[in-house]
Amino acid sequence: MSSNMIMLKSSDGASFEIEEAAARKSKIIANMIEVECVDEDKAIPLQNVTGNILALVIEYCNKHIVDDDDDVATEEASEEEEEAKKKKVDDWEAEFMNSMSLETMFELLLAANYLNIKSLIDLVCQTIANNIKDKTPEEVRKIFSIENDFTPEEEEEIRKENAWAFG
Amino acid sequence: MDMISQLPDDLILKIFSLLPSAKDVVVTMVLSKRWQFLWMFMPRLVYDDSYDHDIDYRKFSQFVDRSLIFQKAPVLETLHFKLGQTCGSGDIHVWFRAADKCCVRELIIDISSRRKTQITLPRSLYSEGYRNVVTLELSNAILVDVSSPISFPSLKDLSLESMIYQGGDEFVKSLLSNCPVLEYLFVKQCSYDNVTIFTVKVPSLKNLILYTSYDRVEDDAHGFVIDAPSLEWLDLVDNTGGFCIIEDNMPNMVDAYISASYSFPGKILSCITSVERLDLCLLTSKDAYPVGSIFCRLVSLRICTCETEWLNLLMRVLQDSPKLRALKLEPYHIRRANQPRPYWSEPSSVPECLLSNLETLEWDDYEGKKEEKEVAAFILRSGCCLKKVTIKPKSTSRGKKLEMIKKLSFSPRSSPFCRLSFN
Repeated sequence: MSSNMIMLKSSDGASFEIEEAAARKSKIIANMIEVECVDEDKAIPLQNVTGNILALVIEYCNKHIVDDDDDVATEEASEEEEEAKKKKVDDWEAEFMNSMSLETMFELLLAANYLNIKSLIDLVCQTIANNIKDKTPEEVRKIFSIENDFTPEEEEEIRKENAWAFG
Repeated sequence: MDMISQLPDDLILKIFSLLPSAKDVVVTMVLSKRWQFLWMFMPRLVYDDSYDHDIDYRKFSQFVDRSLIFQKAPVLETLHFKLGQTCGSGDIHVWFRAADKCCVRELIIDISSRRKTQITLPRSLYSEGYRNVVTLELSNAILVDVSSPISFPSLKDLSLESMIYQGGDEFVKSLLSNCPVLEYLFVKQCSYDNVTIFTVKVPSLKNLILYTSYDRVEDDAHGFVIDAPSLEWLDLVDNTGGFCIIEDNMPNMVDAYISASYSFPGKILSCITSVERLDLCLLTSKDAYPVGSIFCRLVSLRICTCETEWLNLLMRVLQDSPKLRALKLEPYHIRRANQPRPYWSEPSSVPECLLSNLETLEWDDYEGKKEEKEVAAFILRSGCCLKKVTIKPKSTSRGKKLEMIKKLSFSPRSSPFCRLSFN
């Protein structure tokens, strides 16, 4: 396992040091490393990610790189151990998502999308989906502060035309 | 605009794809103008008739009809029907026709096992529209026979649970041999599936799971024929007392779980000698595999202690597995009442794995019976590399448990590092 450190710089000028293995969770950064665009003493500028969001991305990547390491070390772990480990990761992820506001969550999703970190995109999208499922449109609008730009007549029309969807 | 509405379309579609039911997605059309048409592009459609017990079936079927008509996604990652007792073959026919304009990657038809009459799946399942299916999961339905050859050129994962095959043995054989890239196959055979010999001839297959349901009548004529030389993972559970013929060696086998009531299972194990992890529950030890087979890569072995023969089987496999590092003994099944206890006789030579490799022994439901004490003492006495021995006693009474612990704790151990623990 390489313990090379690389530097990342947020859009608001904050610098972060991160292990290369953790940074590789981002397909974009992994590609940059592959084609050797990464200068050892120069930070990689990430124009679309602010410092507070980048800190969260790094926290996520660091947590998951440790887990990947564990997988290699205990290849023959028993099912119970596997389960316990998975539960630990799930608990951590739930706590991680719980600790942030909706606004931060969307910024984190956009950052994960920009950096192309698939597992983080999945995690945030799942959290958002959990907030939508089994809810009425009114409840969803309220949770996400969606402004209803239909006139009452227009909305009535859509509901009438698509009565099959609202039965 | 609010943040969720500002997300790019592909992220909103991703969120849609994580919602459990198509209903949750479709109603987003009234949220605002931004959302009015997005739902038509959802890449994953899950229709769940068992979702809500009070659901009016007519409403459900209308919902499926309409939302499929409006569907505009060029590729449907998933089309999933969970159907209850009311749905008829006619409805499925219409839905299959409506969806075949999309390129479906994963098709799941999960029908309730409580139905009195089975649904016959439409022939259009074999048509051009489903040629690109990569994953196909079917349960509790009838597959019709067709005269023209069926082919699923992209199919990698296939699951057939409690299906009835109208065309019988030949249909199954032909269906599977026309899946040229199939890697994963799960089959659970129900009691009246119209198949006597289930043939799996798939050169690309890596994972194979074959179960026969417990209510299937014992039948010597029933069996499996497997010709899958690339197989890496085999899970076979069959208590019909029939047979399993393996046509070819499977040199890539890594994991195997075999629980079968065959009188002559001999050929199975001799074709998977490259296995690294093996789970066994067999009626016989003598005919378990031919003399001379060596499991040269086997590191982890689990043996089920429910049959009388388990002890003889254990001693045979130990002798023939020089690299074995981990051994687990546990009953997967309930022992029949009045079943004779196994008989222990000390082997003339100590198995090589005990002298040089075996590190762990785990024993669940240890009862402290005579033969159990003897085999445990033998392993402790001969296992030179043992590091951890974990015994989970079955007994309920404290006194009995204490006695078992005392007896084993005082047994001589040849490994100085061996830690003995009781849970």
